[in-house]
Amino acid sequence: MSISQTKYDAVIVGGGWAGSTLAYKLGVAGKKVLILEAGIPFQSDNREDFMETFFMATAKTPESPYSQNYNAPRPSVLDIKAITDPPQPPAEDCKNAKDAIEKDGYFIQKGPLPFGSTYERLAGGTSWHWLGTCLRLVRNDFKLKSVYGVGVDWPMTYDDLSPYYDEAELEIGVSADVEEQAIHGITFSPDYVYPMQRIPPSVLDKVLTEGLKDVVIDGNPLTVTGTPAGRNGISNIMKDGQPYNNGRRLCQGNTNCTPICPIQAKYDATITLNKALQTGNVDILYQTVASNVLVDTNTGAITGIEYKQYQTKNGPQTGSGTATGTKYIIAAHAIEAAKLLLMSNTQLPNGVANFSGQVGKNLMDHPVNLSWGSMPDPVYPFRGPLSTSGIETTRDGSFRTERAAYRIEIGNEGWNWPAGAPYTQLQGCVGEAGLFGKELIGKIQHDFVRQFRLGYLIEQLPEETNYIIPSETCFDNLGIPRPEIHYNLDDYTRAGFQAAEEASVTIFGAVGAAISTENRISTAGAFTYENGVYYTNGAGHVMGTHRMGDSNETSVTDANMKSWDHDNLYLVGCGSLPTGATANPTLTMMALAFKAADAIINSLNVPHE
Amino acid sequence: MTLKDFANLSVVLTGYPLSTILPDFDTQHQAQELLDFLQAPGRVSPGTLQQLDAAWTAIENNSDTSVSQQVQDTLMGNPALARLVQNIIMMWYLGAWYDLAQPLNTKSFVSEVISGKAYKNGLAWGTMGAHPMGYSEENFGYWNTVPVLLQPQPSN
Ligand SMILES: Cc1cc2nc3c(=O)[nH]c(=O)nc-3n(C[C@H](O)[C@H](O)[C@H](O)COP(=O)(O)OP(=O)(O)OC[C@H]3O[C@@H](n4cnc5c(N)ncnc54)[C@H](O)[C@@H]3O)c2cc1C
Ligand code: SF4
Repeated sequence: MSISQTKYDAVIVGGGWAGSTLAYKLGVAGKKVLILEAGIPFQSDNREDFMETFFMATAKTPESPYSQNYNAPRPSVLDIKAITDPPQPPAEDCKNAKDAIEKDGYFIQKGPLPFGSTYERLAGGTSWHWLGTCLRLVRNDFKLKSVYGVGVDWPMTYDDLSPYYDEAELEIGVSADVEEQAIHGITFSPDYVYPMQRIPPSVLDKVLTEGLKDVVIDGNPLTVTGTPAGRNGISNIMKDGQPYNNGRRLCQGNTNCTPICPIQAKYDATITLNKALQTGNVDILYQTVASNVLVDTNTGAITGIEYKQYQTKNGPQTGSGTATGTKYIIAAHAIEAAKLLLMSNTQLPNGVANFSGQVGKNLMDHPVNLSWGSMPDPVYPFRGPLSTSGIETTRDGSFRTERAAYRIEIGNEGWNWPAGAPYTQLQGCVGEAGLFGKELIGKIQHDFVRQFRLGYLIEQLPEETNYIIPSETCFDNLGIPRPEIHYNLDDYTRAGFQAAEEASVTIFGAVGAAISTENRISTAGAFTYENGVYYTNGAGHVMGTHRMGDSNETSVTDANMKSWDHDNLYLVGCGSLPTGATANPTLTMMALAFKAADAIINSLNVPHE
Repeated sequence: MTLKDFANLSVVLTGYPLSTILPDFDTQHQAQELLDFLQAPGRVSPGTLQQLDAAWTAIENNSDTSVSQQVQDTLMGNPALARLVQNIIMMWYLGAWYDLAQPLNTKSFVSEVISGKAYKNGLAWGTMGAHPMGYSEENFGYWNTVPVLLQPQPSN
């Protein structure tokens, strides 16, 4: 049956991580699904093409393998600049979308601090350049308000989500160790094993494990543990008695998980999207950008999603239409989803699903504090996955009444992130120091192999003053508003940066390393707190813009991610998270997507809810 | 400049042996690619290339002073050639090209990547016991053990 004749049970906006997960589960349950995907299909630009683009990129950013698409643009880390005071006016002529986006980037950044995170708009979404970290939230992350008096509580507990974590870990194929992960009250279902064993630690991990074994901060020991990873390790025997097998290759340690795994040892959402399409129940329209959510203002029901189509990344609009189904799911990434709701249906003064006024607000990230330096002995960076271990014991404690918690990611790529290694240092050795030949080799083999860095992922609370709205003046090539972002860090998070820097002094001291501030490549996120200067970086963890909650006055959806205002509308993605805590959010988001899928299937099975 | 001369010069500049720079069984033709890139019309002025060629021929013909001392004195010490020679090192180490009109320092940006192959053959990575980011021929778990560095630690 052709797409125009099929009666769909669900229309999903976005064929990224959340959208693929929902489509897969609905498809398996026999529901007919149509996905509207703004970006290009993943078959046409295959992984080898992306790799070649990456090899040829002069700056190897997360976005570098994937070229800009002016009909479905996305932000780039190269566009993150300090916000001038007063805020930079948008590009003078926003009418020429391509020129304006090339000049200033896709986001209209209003500050006071720049929002440092990015995403991708192509089939598979941002999973193309995710790192692979798959931590569960800890118990107290679900009840920040009641335990510590800050933020908000979730409309569910850890135990409510636990079975869905199992489901998400199986679908991703997570490599980790149950005993190691049992921090701060995390429990697992009986006899639970992760699909694969933890990824072996790097040389650096082992040095830090040993060096920090007696160090305690704020009452928590600094225990180094393997980071649960969505990349293939050695299989475990699963409950059915069979070794886990997802058919993909073992991680080869290409040290390139962000921006692209060359061999797909790392999970990405194209895997689940493919499985969804193979159910035979899922159709997808690529290069199809949702532009308006239609509402019957009498009943409150969503009646369709209008879309615009194009052929080439900079070509004109070539088509349009309205997709209809029984249920509607927006899974277009936290920023694009909120933008779509806010720019839709002008009859509703606040936009769609926005009785609470919370759509687009509470924008959160895990602002990252980077510390780097040199170890007394070689630790051999640039080998293995970008990160194999971290410190998770710092993620909870009574200090959360006063300041943000953090987790510490241990980086295996030397000073690459904070200081452009090895390029920057080599330029210095060859250009400024004039080294060549054996002296150059000696310098590299002495200095570069000692490089290491830590990344502190710092908690950020939901704030109404951090928000995204559709720009009134700047549009993409299809005439769709670009996101305007208002963003800052409050004192709670700033105090977290201060605590992180203090922890660095302790950690670097314990292992005999000196903190470096050499060659910092970006100072755009500079801010002060109690006379100290700190630098924030984006983690790519965009959360909070359509949060779940207990009431239609303070949240956008219920715990099944169903809109309080529209009975047949679901909003799924990291925008659903009421608080961000410190775990990289996507495992939790996928667990939530499975939860939402269950609720949608159930309500489709009950004809008159 | 001939391929042979370019390879010999590259040996001194990179510190790597001829068997790496221009192997007998050369499947990569990396030296040829870099030389072609350097000599492509409009990239480096013909005068500067001729000067480099002449300076290198003089070095090769002078056996009284060590080659690396002469490179230090007549190439690195010559402002007209030093910047170009730095770029040749960066080509070999990272497959990257930098704007010759700007000084090379920690604030420089790559202006062009020579090719995917040149990136993958960049010597910087192997020097550290690593591999180019995004291109590894190692096996699962190799990162758990200490690498054997390809070059012996030079006695400075
Ligand atoms: C550098 C980086 C590293 C990261 N590492 C990690 C990590 O280690 N661990 C972790 O937990 N998380 C990580 N993340 C975050 C993770 O990638 C995201 O949380 C996740 O991809 C979000 O899933 P999503 O489905 O909400 O959005 P996406 O995956 O971005 O998918 C959204 C989809 O919607 C489509 N779309 C957008 N607008 C429209 C429209 N108007 N119409 C139709 N389709 C539309 C897009 O094209 C895209 O396919 C990282 C992010 C970055 C940037
Ligand atoms: S280390 Fe390499 S092979 Fe392993 S997941 Fe990352 S990019 Fe893929």
